[in-house]
Amino acid sequence: MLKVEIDYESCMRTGQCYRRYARAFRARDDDFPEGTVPEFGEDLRDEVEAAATNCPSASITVVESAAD
Amino acid sequence: MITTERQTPQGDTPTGGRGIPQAPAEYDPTNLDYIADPHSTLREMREDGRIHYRDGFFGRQVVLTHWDDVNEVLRSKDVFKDSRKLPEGDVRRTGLLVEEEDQSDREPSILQLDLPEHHRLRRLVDRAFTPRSVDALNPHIEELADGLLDDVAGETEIDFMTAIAIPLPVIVISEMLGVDPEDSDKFKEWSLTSVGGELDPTNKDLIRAGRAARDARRDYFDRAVTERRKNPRDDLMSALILAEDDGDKLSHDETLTMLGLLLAAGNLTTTDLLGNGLLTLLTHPEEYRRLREHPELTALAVNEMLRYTPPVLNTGRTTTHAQELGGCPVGKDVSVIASVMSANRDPDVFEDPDRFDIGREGTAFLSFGGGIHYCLGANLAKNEARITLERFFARYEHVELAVAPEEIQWRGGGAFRGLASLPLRVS
Repeated sequence: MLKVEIDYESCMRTGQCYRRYARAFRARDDDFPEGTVPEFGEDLRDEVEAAATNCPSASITVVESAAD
Repeated sequence: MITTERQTPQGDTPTGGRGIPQAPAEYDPTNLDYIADPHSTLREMREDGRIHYRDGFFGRQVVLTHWDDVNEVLRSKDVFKDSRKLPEGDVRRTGLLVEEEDQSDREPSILQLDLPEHHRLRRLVDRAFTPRSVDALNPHIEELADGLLDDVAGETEIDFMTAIAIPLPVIVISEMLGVDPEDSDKFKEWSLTSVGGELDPTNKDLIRAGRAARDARRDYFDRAVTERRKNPRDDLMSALILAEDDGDKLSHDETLTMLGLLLAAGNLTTTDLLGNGLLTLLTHPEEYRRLREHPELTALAVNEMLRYTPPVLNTGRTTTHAQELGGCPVGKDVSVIASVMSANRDPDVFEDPDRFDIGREGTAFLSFGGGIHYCLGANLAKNEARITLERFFARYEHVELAVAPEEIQWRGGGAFRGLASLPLRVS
């Protein structure tokens, strides 16, 4: 399983993650992003990692969480 | 093949760039011949190696042309933009070599700031440019585009630039800031004039005219900000003032600098995206027909226009310390030119990169930059371009160039590339 950590200090709300990787990210009411689920399965690994790589401000970190 | 005779700098060059080859003479972003046809030169440079040096107006610069290197430097924490960090006496500190009194003592804009100051300012405006915020403007942008098309209704020959591409973005950003609609024309002119020095840093008349335009605009905002302080409205100007009044967030000068930057950045680039994009479309008849048959491809087509013919060619940074760039050691305080335009044609990243394909998927193009200076207005620019093209093609069944493609005049130089005019026959 995967988790994402979002650095809300550096995030610039460009919406790249939730626009391009909508299965993994969505906009909160204040337009900052959040994960669509607390933990991601392998099916979303590519999207989550691409979002982290492409985030302009490098505000997304992917963390491997212990497998159930 | 690069035919220009090249030399390799020896000893302690300003770049510390032992072994870095010189860029071909054709690589001259201040020259309109280069602006008209940059791709053959950039391709030669990409094939020749990852890094070149060039001796330009601001001294020696290194130029990166590969996607990996450009992307890395845009996102790097080992480069900076704030010219106040350069050594005393460095010409790049003041930017433009003109008289003493012309040297700006004003607040640097967010464009020139590094962390953490950058984020303090960006946070004040980023909400207005999120996907949700700019999407809410779409119906109004449609109305504006239709209104501009109404203004030229019945004409069979129009200049796309003056009819639509120039006025639309400046009206949109002016209204967001809170400029009264009747002042839009004034703002359009100031915006065009104010970047004169960017177009040709050696032309003192252009630089002076540019500064005069920036002064006039600043005076306008000075009065408007003072007025908004008494009577806040629902606009960006008021939002910046309210933020300013919330503790020590934004000084009066910072507010004025930010407003000027938002206005300038918010229009010329979108103007050039529209002009460059439409010209490219019209000179690729198969892709043009494809878009006519599949208007739902317009959003993807705009992405491809951004990749294929970006309005901003490159962006500059300065090294914070000696480091390796493009596989070569480079010294401290060295100017780095990241060629976004070249990166967008890198065959390692884009399949068949010189092919204009409006259905191309993927958004690896670097036309909006990257890292903390990633274009604030990216979402807005894409919406404006998409809506304008949709409304334009909905209005006219038949659109073609009114002059031969080789007669089209380019404008720009330095970092910018756009059309002086785009004469069209429409019906």
